[in-house]
Amino acid sequence: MSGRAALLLFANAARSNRVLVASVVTIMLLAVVAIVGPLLSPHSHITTNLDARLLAPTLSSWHLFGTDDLGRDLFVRTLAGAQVTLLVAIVASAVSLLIGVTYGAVAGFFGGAVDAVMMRLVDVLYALPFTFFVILLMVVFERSLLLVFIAIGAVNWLDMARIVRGQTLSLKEREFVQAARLIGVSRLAIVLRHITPNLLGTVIVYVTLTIPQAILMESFLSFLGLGVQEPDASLGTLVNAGAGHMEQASWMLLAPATLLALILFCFNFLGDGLRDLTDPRKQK
Amino acid sequence: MTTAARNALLEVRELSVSYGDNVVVDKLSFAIHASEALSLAGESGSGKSQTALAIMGLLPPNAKVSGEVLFEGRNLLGAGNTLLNEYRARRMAMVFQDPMAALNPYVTIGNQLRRILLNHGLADGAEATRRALAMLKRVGLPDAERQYRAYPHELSGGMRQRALIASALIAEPQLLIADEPTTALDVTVQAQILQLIAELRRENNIALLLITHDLGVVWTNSERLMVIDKGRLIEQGATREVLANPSQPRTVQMVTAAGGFLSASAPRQATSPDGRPKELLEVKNLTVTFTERTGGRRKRLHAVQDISLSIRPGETVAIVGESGSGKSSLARAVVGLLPEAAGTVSLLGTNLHRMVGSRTKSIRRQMQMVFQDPVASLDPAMSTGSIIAEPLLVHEPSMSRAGRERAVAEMLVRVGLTADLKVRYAHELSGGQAQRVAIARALIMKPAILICDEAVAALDSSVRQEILGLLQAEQQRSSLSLLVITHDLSVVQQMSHRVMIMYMGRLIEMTGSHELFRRPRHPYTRLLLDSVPLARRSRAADLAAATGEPASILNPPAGCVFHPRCAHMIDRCREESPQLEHTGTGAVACHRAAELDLSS
Repeated sequence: MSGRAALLLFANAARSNRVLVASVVTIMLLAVVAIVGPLLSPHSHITTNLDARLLAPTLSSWHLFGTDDLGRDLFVRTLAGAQVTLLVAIVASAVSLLIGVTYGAVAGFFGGAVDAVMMRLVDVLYALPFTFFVILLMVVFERSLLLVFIAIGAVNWLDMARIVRGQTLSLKEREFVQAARLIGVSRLAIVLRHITPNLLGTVIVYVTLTIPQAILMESFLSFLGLGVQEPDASLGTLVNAGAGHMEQASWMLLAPATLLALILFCFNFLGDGLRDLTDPRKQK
Repeated sequence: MTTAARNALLEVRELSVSYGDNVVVDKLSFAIHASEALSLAGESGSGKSQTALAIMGLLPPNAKVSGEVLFEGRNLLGAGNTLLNEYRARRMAMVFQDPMAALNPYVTIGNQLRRILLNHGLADGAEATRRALAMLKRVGLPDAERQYRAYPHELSGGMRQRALIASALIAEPQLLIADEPTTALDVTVQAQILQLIAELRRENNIALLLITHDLGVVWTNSERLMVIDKGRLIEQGATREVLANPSQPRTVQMVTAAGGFLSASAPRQATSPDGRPKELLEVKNLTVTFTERTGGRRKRLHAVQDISLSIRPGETVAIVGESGSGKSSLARAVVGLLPEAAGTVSLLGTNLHRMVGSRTKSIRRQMQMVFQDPVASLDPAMSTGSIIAEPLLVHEPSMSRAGRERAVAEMLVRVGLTADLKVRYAHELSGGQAQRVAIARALIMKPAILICDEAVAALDSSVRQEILGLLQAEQQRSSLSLLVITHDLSVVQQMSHRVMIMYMGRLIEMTGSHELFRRPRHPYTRLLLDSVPLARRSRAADLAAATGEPASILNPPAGCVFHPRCAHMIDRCREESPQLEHTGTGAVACHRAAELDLSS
């Protein structure tokens, strides 16, 4: 798709689907704020200040979202957490998209023994207990954020591969694929020209579903002490910490939880909107 | 108000149904008197089903309805469910097109009938069971006690439709609305169901509103006929008069399509092209065997058994059979889409590889196929232009982009479309347009043979004629050979030089298409001819022995596969399977072919 076509597509979408555009704009805005915000604030997300513990949000000392139980500025911490969360979302979906779609499409299209071997491998990977798998990774390699991405990506692509394989299996029996075979279109060209474009709708929707899943998984790992470590933060660890103080300092929960919910909402609406957009039947 | 209208059982006044700005039924008025049969005919999208749903109060909530539906003088349009439920089943009932969808798959046939009686308080436990069973027997379900306990999926299509009719009639309604009751069925079964409806109607004095796109079925089943188009009434009158002298062009088209080979125009003279005696396509001893796994046990299913055929350049050969006869498997095996096929297929003397993937490009180019569902055979993600251009990318890689665009535009015009259609997607095309695009995609390769697998079965009758005309024009133009797979004898009449009749995977008769209609030689062929509804008006005889449905291909009967349904069966047929015997112009597989005279 050329740049101009993409622009046109977006212009069309803006007219027909305001929710989609709103969520794209919100996600972009959040990304910018998450990156620029901490640079503008006088505070750092790791500096503690025991004189300023559990301060309610205030403008006077630039604690816009208040402070936590160690006196760290929540505005900066929440945005730093959002950075991590958005990064997880992007990396995990990219991994699951890249591996999952290729793997599933190949298994589904070639079928037979190839399919059987490839999908049994997926079954084996499914059977691995996720937490155990992550702990193993942490023991063998050094604990790092990168490893969290790898762990989440490694699990997420399995679902994608299964879904894409199923879709491919049904697509390849469709009459237009048979017509292409009769014409003499090569196998590779059939996969690229006929199967993949028709998978797009499903894949896009599923990717946007994996994003919230990956975000939640990251929070889970961080909660167990396997993911993001103090003093660094992700929205998951912040919500967890906030939940412990929600009676005396509700802002500790509200700030990261609201942001997390906003991100999840936006990605869900984005998925719905993109599905409508890529479905030729829905275009008028 | 006239007396006639006052006595009407059902009177529809100025009924309009619309969805948004889209008016599907436009001020339609008609009346049905007690025990009268009225046909409402129209092509798809004409609003005939919407009319039926409006009468039954089954329209979706987003439909805007106006007018009146008076049942014995009481307006039911817009009435609440409580009132409607008093009328549904007990006063008026409906038979739908697809019995599998209309029956609840989780409830046994018997219980579906019983529940109607119980819900309406018409009978209690034992009495309901007795009446349900009696009703199943009345609609001709063989072995009714067993079918009573069966689930819908265990019944064949015709049996399901019988069960559905039973459930519609069990509460003894005064009006039966049948919405395309036989469209989903095979022709021989279709004839039986129509006969059943006619009988039950006469017996119980039920009024019938028969909704159909096929004017063939209205002949024996209704006294009056209304033809609607785009929601408007365009013609009405006594059925026989309208069919004999249709005044509207749309009706004429529908009559021609339904009458097919019986219309006034003389059957086309088969002009087998000679001079080039070389066979274009030769199929020898083709067998297709599927392995069916049922409950761990493997069962071999012979979808096609030992069939040989040949086609000369410029010739049209039709393969006729009902669903499950193996005709589509045969077509798919020939083009190389079935790994289960055995036997040889050769094109101009070259033996072809079994699978299309291993055939050379030049071979693939020679043999193309047009599928039944035109929309499904076009990639939904591609525009019409790129769909037609794709074969050029494969076979003429050196062609310039401008050259391709020119070729596509020419091709679109050639198949009767306009060049500006190239930007459209498949779902934006009508069925007929989509099939033209599919034909254009095949023809742009200049194939020697085109295999049409029920290529017009999914289309409206008028569009069907146009597509058949297009195929014939292409044949004249480039001596294209056609292998036409169809269940529709009017297609055979119009298109083909030679016909092959298949039954349960076997070739049972092969003959010239002119011969077929004058002098069929196999009893099954005779049955097929008799099953075309309009054909029966010339033959006063009812379908004497048109009983039963094809046996399951998983359990083919011993001996001649047709013997359980055959009117001319002798003991030998039970034991010995007849061989295909070649005679002069054709071939027939029947023990009694020599002695029987089945000509009309």
